Amino acid sequence: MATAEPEVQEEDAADLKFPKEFDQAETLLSSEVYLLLEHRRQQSEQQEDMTEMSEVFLKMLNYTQRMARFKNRETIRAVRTLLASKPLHKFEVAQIGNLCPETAEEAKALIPSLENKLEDDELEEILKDVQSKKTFQ
Amino acid sequence: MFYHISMEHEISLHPKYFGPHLLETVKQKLFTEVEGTCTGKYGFVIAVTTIDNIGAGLIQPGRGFVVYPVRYKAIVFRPFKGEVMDAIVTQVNKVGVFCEIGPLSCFVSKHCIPPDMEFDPNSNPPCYKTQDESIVIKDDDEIRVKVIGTRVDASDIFAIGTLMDDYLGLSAAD
Repeated sequence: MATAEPEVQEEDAADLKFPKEFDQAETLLSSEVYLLLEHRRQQSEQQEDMTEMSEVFLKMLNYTQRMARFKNRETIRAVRTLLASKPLHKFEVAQIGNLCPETAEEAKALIPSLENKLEDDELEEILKDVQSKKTFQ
Repeated sequence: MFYHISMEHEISLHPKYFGPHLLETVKQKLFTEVEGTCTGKYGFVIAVTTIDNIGAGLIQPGRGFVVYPVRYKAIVFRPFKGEVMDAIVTQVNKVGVFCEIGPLSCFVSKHCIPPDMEFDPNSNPPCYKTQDESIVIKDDDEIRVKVIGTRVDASDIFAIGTLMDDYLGLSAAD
């Protein structure tokens, strides 16, 4: 079956190799997804919408609620602004925001594409800023 | 990884809906037809956020149905090989650990769990643990996995993960 597909493109997040649909696409943090889904849930509750939420929707709502690192819009915006000023790929921005690594070594182990992109101390400073935003929200 | 991307879908409408609420029906139909679906290309479509354009409908010869091309934006979740993510353990047994990232099921084989961790079927609940019990992986724990492969079905994606790398495994409790 796979041979019928003409596009045999390798995908590997470690090298930032993505299918073209996703290469420049807007990434979202799980915290952002949580806010969006929660908003949507409240809306349909208000309208007493009888349409059932899909299982995928509910599972993702639960997951993002559990994993959301940043609890409010202001913190998310602050983290976004901080990371936007750095020479990072959108995928890397979201991964830093989702995984919240604490050290440069950890960050580079989890997100290998960061290797050779930033100096350790510069990266470390970014991570520290993210951590402090997470702590004081 | 979560993405907010632009996608297209064709809505086929029965003539009985032709009337003042036609476009409303098209929108409703889009929501029910795409939300909650899963494809190999785009991953899981979690929620439609905006409908950007509903194109001119085309009447199908011999059927009377009209097909509307709809352009919309949606939140999708697409796992990639090499991506690290946090997952929630759903089942632990002697072949390995099953976990979930929202709707995505992920399997971590015993061979991809560090060799110093052993399966203990007698503990309650069953778990993988190191000899000194400093690390215990059991049901409902959060673990950090790296995706090493995905398998795409007609309407589902399965991921295979590993814990065999630095900083993977049990997430530090925050």
